[in-house]
Amino acid sequence: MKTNWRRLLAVLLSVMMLLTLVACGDSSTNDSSSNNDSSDSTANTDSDVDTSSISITVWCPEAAVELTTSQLAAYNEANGTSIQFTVEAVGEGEAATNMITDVTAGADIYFFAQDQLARLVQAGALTQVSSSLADTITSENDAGSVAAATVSGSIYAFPLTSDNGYFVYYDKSVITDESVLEDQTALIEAVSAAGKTIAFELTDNGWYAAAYFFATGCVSDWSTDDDGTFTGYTDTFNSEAGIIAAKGMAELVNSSVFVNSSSAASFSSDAAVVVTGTWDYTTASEALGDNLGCTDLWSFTVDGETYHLGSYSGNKLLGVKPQTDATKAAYCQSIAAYLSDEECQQERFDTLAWGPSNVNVQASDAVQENIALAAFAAQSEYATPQGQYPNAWWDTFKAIGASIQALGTTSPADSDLQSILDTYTAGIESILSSASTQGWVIVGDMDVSWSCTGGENGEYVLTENQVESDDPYVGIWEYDITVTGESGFRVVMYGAWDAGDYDASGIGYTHLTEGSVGTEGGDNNIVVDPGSYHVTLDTTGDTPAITVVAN
Amino acid sequence: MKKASSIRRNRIMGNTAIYIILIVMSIVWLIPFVFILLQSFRCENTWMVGYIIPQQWGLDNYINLFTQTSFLQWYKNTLIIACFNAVLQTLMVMMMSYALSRLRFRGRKFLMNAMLVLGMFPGFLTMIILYYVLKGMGLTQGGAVPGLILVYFASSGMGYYVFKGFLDTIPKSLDEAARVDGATRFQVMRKVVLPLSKPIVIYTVLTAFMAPWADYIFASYIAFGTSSGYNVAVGLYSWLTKDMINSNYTLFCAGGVCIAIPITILFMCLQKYYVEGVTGGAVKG
Repeated sequence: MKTNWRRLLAVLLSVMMLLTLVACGDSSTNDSSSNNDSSDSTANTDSDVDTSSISITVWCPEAAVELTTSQLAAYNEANGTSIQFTVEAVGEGEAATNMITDVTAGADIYFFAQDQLARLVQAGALTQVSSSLADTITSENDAGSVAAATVSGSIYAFPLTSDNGYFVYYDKSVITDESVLEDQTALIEAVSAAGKTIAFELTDNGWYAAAYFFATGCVSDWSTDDDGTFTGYTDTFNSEAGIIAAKGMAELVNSSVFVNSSSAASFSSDAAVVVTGTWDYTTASEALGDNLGCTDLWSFTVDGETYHLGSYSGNKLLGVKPQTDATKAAYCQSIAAYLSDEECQQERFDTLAWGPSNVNVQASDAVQENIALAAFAAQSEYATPQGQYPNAWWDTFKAIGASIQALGTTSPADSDLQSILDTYTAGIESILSSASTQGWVIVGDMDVSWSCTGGENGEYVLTENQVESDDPYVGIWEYDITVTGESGFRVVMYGAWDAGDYDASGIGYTHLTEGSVGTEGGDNNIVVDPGSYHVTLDTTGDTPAITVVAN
Repeated sequence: MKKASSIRRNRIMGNTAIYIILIVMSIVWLIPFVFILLQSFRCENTWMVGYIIPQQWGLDNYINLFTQTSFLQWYKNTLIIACFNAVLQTLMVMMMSYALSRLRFRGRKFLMNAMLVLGMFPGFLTMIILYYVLKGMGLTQGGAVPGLILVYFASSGMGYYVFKGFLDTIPKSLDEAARVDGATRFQVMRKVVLPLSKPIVIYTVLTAFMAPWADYIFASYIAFGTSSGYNVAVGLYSWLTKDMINSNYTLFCAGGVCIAIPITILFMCLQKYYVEGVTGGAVKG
């Protein structure tokens, strides 16, 4: 009996070992075949290579699987190739996360949302588009979508749509007078009189909440280096315009008609107005039928001034993964170009109602007549192309909506709103300081502690104005500070105790003083009376200068 | 007389209060299940609505679920994983517990302590390395089903505590009696210990069967964007995106109900063993 068990165990173990070998054998044969391909063929897709050994995986949203499969079959037919395509349903948001997790196991070609571009470039999951294709992309697609596919001047993806933004869907049977859709106060009154609600996802989603801040001209632009790492930002959300935006938002979120939702399904439960995007068109039209109306967002009025709500506009992009096999790489580029061309975009509009980025398709009658895309186009006049943001920015910013709602009044005090925006500013400063170690910092006898190294102590990180420069220390930098003590403050390089402690940048100033650059050993300590000041550091000229103005 | 009636009144009042609390609690506990069940039979539209009782009843969601989507594939995957896991994991745990409970060998204490310490690390810590090991063996993406079976059952031996605790309560004198009668270790386990440990075996089978239905993290990591390797949790979750949810919400609810079916059936069949009394008084005088 005992020996039997031993034998069985031995057999089991050897079977397992064999299995492992088989598994290894599989992958090694694949490797060798792909190596052969790259060695005996050129990167020219027109040459007569046997394409049946090439297998390409494509990730696209579930809705587009069927169409993409047939488009790829058409590609094989038109080009006389026999590439093996595998189309998998992977949502645009998930695709980027998956690609970053394991680039080698990820798809060769994938659909993704433009806000993921920086992360994907950083993770090495995107190939730069070849210059000839880049010219085609630039000439055939609208400028916003090309910009959305560009990182540091190079195009990394193929634009597929220009429809990722939000606008107003409304119920015509409730909103009979369309003029109320122009003005927030009138709209709230009309909806409230009908006993209905306005669905707008403002209190937990920064993507929607930004509408109010863009309305008053606030900006939050984040810059990245060539690797997609965030290096700096220009943010004016915490400003007088930001207070006005917050007041406009308070009027809606604290009214009785407000519902925090961005789903057209809200039409089934009381909503008369829903702010959402083209992806909800089918749901909205099923829910409302002929009563469905679409238009651009409304305006709000604060202190007699009227501001039209802004929005984000974005794109779906098609990315190609870097390949080791030159033939496959060339085919991937060619297929991606095909999938994003005029014909495929037209088909995608016809079957899925995806708004095209191709200018010719945009001009077609069918697209012009689509009411959702027409509303998107009307809103795009006020829209901001969605740039690259650190993920933490969205989390920091979305808290503003909930904080305003927590005030519980439609006309909150300026001081309350100011403190909400101050919290936001503190939040984004810590993002930058954890994301970057460059730029200028003010340390000193102020309401935050002395520190120049990390974000957790909350030192003042100077904000860079839009000055184009490769040098991370050159630009016009400014910040509002509050000095609390008598010993003054200093402007230092990020991560250093002094302006001159850090020579790596090659700037070569040793010390900075008010009005001019100090000499070596000079005094970089600016003593002012306690109070609030606006500090500007200009390093663009030959002699960098600090200006301090009392607020 | 008066005293007795006041005691009775107090008892009635006490019971009433307790019943009210219990009823409220059971309603709160049951609402999500009733809600999902009702939503899965709602046919007037496919998105989330603000009411619970459907306006149009029907089986459309179930029909679409199995004909229009990949749900059947995901369901099969999960069922295969769950069945294999239920058998393999139970065998593994049983052998482990029997050895640790009945046999005395060198390093037994050390082994138990080592497993206790290893068990303190969350399983997810090993996720990345496991992923690469499985990828090397070709058991990710399309091969996720055998991969997941391997992952679940390979680590299951460490969950021997409950089973071993149960075996420890079965008197050793039974084993000894059987040994004296000439039984081998294996016969002791199969003919004496196993029949006495039915409740814990059933418990192990049930937990092993249920776990794969709810696993998301490992399953999504290993299936990695390959729909044919998804389990139900990963598959259904992929419907929760902003452009999918409105067309798939009621399907999602129907999917949830379908997941509950095999688990419920298994529970009902095995319930009488599950609650069966433990082995009190098994030793003959």
